[in-house]
Amino acid sequence: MSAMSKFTREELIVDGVKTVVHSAGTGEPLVLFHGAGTLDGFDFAETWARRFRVIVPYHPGFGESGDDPSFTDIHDYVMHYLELFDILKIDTLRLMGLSMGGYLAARFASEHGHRVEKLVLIAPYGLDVPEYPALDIIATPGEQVVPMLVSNFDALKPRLPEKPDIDFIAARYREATTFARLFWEHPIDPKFPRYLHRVKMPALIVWGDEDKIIPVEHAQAWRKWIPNAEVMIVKGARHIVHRDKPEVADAIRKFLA
Amino acid sequence: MNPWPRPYQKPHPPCYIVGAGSPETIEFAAELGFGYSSVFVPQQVALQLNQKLRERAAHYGHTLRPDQLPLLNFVYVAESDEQAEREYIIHLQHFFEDFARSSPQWLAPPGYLSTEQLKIRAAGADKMHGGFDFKAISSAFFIAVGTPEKVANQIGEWTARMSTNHINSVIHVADMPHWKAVKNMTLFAEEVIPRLRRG
Repeated sequence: MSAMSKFTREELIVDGVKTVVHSAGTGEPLVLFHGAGTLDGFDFAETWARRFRVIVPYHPGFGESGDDPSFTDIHDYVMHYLELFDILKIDTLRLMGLSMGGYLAARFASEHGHRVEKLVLIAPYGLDVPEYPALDIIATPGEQVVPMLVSNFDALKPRLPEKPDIDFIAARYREATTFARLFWEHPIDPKFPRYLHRVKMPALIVWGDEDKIIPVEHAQAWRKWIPNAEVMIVKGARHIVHRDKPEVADAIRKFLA
Repeated sequence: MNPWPRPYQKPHPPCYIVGAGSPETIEFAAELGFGYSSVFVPQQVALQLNQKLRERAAHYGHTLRPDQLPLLNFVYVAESDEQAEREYIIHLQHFFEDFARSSPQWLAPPGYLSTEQLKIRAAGADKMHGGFDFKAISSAFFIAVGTPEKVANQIGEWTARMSTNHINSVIHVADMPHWKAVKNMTLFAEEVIPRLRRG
């Protein structure tokens, strides 16, 4: 978060795990689940703070939150957020997830659908589409993954160190370790799609048509399992859709309203 | 894991943890009273690791037997020292310059190191590479190259220094062809092992 950020930072202990939550704005809660890397920051979410109480928690094992190596399954994160929402006195919410956070958001919505008023999934992880496999990010060197994230690399540059920086590398390594605990042995839960029909609230699936991490063809696979979902394909965008095409934030706000 | 049939030994068969020196791995082995088999590291490092492991195991109430700390070494045996070097060095050099070189995602896959260890290792990365010097490398690492007499004496010295009686010798390295591997293995079995057994 930059010094100019509207976000305020709060440090909580959630079932023994240090959990850092950034929030801005007032109104109905809009919770954003970030993806498997937090290098991009969350400044793009400020635009929604004019209308919502935007809440961006760092997942355990990522960014500013603490570690809990006992989190070995995405469901541990669902339980974590049930606890966090109790602490934050959030009952119903709008929920948005990016990439791995999209998988988590879809999980949460399929299990606790009555609490989720609207769901936005931005290039979510979690489905197996054999003809269009997701990039194996554990086996791909970090320095190759980062340029694949966006088509407009200049947009991401301010978030990256100018020369190799061991603390930056260690932070990414730690997040990759957390990701590996969840997905290395079992990258895909084959039972996940069978419960997706429980996602009955309005849902929006956003995908960049040039996504190099999870190919855009996954959007239709998600649509198949969540029949009432809208799909928004963003031309010229890669995995971090909103970094390539910031105007997507307006379209999302209209959907959320 | 659900092994079946159950292991015969009680409480369990001999177990070894393979490590490259992370304090977390040593602590894990020490707490369980397991053996610790370090990967190919310099002699100085191996000595320190064994020392550390004995201390930490004692802290948890375990006394490690000599066989729980294997000596990992590279060997090549031939008719003379000169011939052994002539036949072996080219492959050893290939090992150090090419085979031991890897990119970070293979050297340290996620979760293999703590972030602290990652930082320490990244700072010392690439020191093994470049300027291959057989004399320097064979005295820094456990590498015995020469006649059966010389190799047996060298391994004998090392086992005494490392207080171990468990020898784990690497016969084949890098792109060594089949005939050299067979020759090395045969001479090691017929000429070196009997000498070591005699003490």
